[in-house]
Amino acid sequence: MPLFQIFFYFLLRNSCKFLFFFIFLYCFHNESLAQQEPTYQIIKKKRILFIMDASGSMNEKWKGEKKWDLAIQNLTNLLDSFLTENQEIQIGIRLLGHQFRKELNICTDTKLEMPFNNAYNKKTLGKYIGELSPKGHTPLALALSESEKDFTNSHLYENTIILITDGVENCFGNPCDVAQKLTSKKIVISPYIIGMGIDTSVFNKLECIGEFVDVTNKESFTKVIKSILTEVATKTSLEIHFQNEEKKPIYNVPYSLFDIRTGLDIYNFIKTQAPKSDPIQINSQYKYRMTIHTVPHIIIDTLPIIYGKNNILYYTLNATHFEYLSDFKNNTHSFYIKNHKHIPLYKTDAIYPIFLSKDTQLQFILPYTPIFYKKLDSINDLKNIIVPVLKTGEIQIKISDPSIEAVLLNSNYEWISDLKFKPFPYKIEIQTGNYFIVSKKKFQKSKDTHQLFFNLPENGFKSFELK
Amino acid sequence: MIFSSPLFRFLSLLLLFNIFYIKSTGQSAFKDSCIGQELDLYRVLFIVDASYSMDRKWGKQTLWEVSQKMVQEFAFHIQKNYNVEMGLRVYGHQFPLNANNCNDSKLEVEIGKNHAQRIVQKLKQTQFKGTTPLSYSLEKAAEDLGCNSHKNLIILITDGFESCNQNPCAVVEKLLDYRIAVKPIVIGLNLDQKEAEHMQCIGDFYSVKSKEAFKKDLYESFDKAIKRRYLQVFLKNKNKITSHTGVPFTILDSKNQLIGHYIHSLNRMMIPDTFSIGDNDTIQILLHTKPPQSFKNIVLKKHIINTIELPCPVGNLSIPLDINPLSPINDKVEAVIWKKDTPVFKNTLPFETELLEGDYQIDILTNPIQNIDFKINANDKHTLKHTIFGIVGFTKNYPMQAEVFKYEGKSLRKIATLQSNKSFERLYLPKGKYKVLYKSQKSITQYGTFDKDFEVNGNDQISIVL
Repeated sequence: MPLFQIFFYFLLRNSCKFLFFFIFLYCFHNESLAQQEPTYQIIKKKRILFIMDASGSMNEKWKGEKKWDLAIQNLTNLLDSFLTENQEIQIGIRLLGHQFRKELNICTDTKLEMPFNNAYNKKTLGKYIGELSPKGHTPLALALSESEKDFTNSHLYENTIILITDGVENCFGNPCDVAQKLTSKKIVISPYIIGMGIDTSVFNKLECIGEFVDVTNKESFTKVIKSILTEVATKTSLEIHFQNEEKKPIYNVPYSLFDIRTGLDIYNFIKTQAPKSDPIQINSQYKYRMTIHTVPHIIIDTLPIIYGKNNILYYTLNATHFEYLSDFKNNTHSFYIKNHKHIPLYKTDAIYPIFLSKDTQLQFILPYTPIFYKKLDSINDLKNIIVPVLKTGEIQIKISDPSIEAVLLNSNYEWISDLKFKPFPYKIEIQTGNYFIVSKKKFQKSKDTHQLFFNLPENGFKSFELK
Repeated sequence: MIFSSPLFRFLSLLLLFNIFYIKSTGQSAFKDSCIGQELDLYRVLFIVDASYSMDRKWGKQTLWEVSQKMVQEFAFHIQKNYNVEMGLRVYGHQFPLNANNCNDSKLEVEIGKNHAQRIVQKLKQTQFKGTTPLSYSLEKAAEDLGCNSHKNLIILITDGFESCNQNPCAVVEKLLDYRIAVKPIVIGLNLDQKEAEHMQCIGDFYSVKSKEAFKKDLYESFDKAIKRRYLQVFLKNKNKITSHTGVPFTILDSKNQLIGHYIHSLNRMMIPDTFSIGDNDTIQILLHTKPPQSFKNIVLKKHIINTIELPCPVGNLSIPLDINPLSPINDKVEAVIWKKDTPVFKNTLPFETELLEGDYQIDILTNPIQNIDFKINANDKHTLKHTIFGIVGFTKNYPMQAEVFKYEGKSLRKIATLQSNKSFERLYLPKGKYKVLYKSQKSITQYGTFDKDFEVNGNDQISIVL
C-alpha cells in the first residue's frame, strides 16, 4: 500500500508517462502474491503448550486444597519425569488472569511465562511459575489467539495445546471462533481442555475448542494429564503400500491423511519407490481418514492404526498404471476423460504416469479441430488408442471486412469452424486434409456465396484473405 | 403524433408485408409478375449490338455478319425445340457514331410467339453505325420484358463495352432484384482480355473464340438455363414468421455429389433470396446449424420456384469472460459443447454462438473441467455462468512429479498432473484454494515430498516456483 501511495503521488505530478510503470507494478504486485515458502514433509518435533487459567476462581478450595496449588504441584511433578523420559519434546506454559486483580477488570491479562524448551526440570519449572498466583478474569479466547504467536515455525512441529481451566470465558471473547481460526490457519493444534469441576451445563461451550475432559479430584487430574502426555509422546509410524491386483507395487501415487475431527489434511505424500521400507511418522493424537489420489479418488474412512507401533497397510488399487501416449510427445495436446455419466474425470497433457480407476464406459476426448473422441470400455483401452488425427497444419485467416460471413467445411461437407472477423490475421491449427472456405458478405445473396477449395498437407501452412 | 411518425409507417409497412408473406409462403415469396403464363413458357429477348465497330472482320466475314447468322440459327433452334416467345432489341443502328446518341436503342420486334422469322428479317434490314449504349439498352430490356420472371432470358450479343459513361454491371445489379430475375447470357465477339473481364459481371459470359465451340456453349447454356431448378430456402425458427438467416448450407444431389455451398441470406424485404441449381429432381440439404441437420429427398419441380421450409429452431448461447483489462488472460481456455454424448464443437472463451434448441452440456477446459448443463430455447438468449479463473504458471527447477489439488471444502481432489519434462507450464484454474504436491524424480523417500498452498481469486496471474 505505501508503495502505491508514493506511486500515485508521482502519477499526479508526472501525468501519463508513469502509466506503463503502473502496469508493470500491477503485474509484479499480483504475481508476487503467491511467493511463499513451500512446506516439506519432515519428521516433526513435538511441542506442548499448557494454557493455564489463573483467574481468581482458581483460589477456590477443592477437597481441602487450592485448585491452583493442586494443578501446579501435580503438573510440575509430571513434567519433571516426562521431560526426563522424552527429551526431544518441548514444553511451554502460558497463563491467563495471573497479573491483575479481578477488580481492575483487565481482560488482556495473558502472558507466555515459559517459552518452549525441552530442558525444563522441577527446579526451573518452580522458578518460572511457582511464585505466581491466580487473581483476575478468564480471557480464554485471548489466551488462545495469543498462543498463535508462541508457535513459531509451526509447520516444523506437531503442536499440542493443553488448556486447563475451571470456568468459561468471562471477557466477551469467543473461544470457539478463535479455535476455528487457529485450525483454519493450518497451525495444527490439538487442544485438550481439562475442566476442573466445571458446571456440566457449559461443557458444550468448551467442546468446540477441542477434546474436553472434566476432572473431579486430584487423582483424576493426574491421570488425565498423564494420559495426554503419553499420547503426545507415543511414536506411531505408518507404511502404506499400494499394489495392483497382481500384487505388484504401484508407486508415484499421491495420498493425503486427514484428521477426522477437524477434517484438515495433516500429511500429504507421494508414494515413492524406496530402497528400504519408507515409513512416515504420524501424530498419535489424531484419528485418520485417507484419500488416495487416483482418478477418481478413493477414500478410506478410518485408517486402522494401532498407536505406538509401526503400522503396515496394503491397499489394492483397482487402477491402471497408465503412461501418456508417446505419439503426443512432440505435439502435446491435453485430452480429457469423461465417465459414463458424462462427468469429466480428468484433463491432462502430462507424460508422467497418472492413475485412473477402472471404470466402464469412458469417453476419450481430444479437444481438437475437429474434436476427436472415442468411447472406451475401460481405461485399459486407452493404451490401444492410436490417435490418427494429429497430422496437422495451420491456416491463417485474414478477414478485412466485418460484413463477411465465413465458415470452414471439410471434404465431407461438415462444419469445422466459423471464421470470424478479427481486426488482425489469426491462425487455426487443423488436421491435414481437404477443406472449403465458404463465404459471402452479409448483404450478398446466397447464390453469390464464394467457395474456395484447398488441401492442407502435413505441417502445411496456408494463408487466406477474405475481402 | 406517433401514427404519422416515419417509424410507425415503417412498422405498419412491415406488418402489412408480414401478412402478405404468410399467405404467400406456401407458394413462393419471389414475386413472379408474369402471371397467367403457361408453366413451361420461356421468354427470350435478344439484344444485338449494331454499333460501328461491327464492321470489323472476323475471318472472312464481318462481326455483323457473324452475329446475324448466329441469331438466325439460334432463334430457329429454340423456336423448334422449346416453348418460347422471343423479341429483338438493337442498339447503335439509328444514328451515326459522330452523333454520339446514347439513347440509340430500339425494340425492333416485340416479344411474341413464332417471332424467329421476323427477327431475322429485321436484322437483315438493319445497318450498323453508331455507339454502344449498353446500360441504357439493358434498362430498356427490362421494360420490354414487361413482367418479371425467372423464365425471362436476355441474350446479349456484343463486340465491345459501354461507350456511354455508364456502368452496365451496376445496372444489372440494380435490375436483378425487381425487373429481371436472371442475369443475361452475354456473348462477346472478338473481345480483348480487358473487355472480356469487364463483361463477366453482366451475366453468364461466353467469349467467342471459334464459331463451333461458341455454338455449343450457347446452346448448352440456354438448355441449362431452361432446365434450371429454382429454390428458395425458408429457415423456420419456431413461431417466427420471417426466416432465420446467415446459416451456411450445402446442397448435394441424390448421389451425394456436391452441387454447392451457400450461406443463407434474406433480401431487404426479409425474403429468402431465390437461387437456381442445375437439372436435379431431388436434392439433399446439409444445414450447418450446431449441431448440423441433414434433409434428404427434397423434390424440386421444373419451371417453378420451389419453396423449401427447413426447421431451424435456434437460440443463442453467450459465454462471457469478465476480463480485467490489465489481466493477461486472453482467449486460451477452450470449451467443448456436447449434445448428449456427441461433441458438437469447441471454441475458445469468450464466445457467442447459435445452437439448435435442446439440452446441452459444456466442458470448460480449466483444471478441473467445469461441467455445466444448459438448455437452449428457440429465439432466446442464454448466458452461461461459470466460475472465473486465473492463470497459474509453474516453474520447475528440476525434473519432478508434480500434482495439483483443489480444496473442496477441506478435502482434496487431484486436478492436474504437470509434465515432468517441461520447466514451465501454465494452468487455468477456477477461483479457489489449491495445493501443489511435488517430489524430485530422484527422490528415494516419501520425505522428499514438498507441498505449497496457493489461492486463485480469478482474473489473476500467479507464478509458483517448485
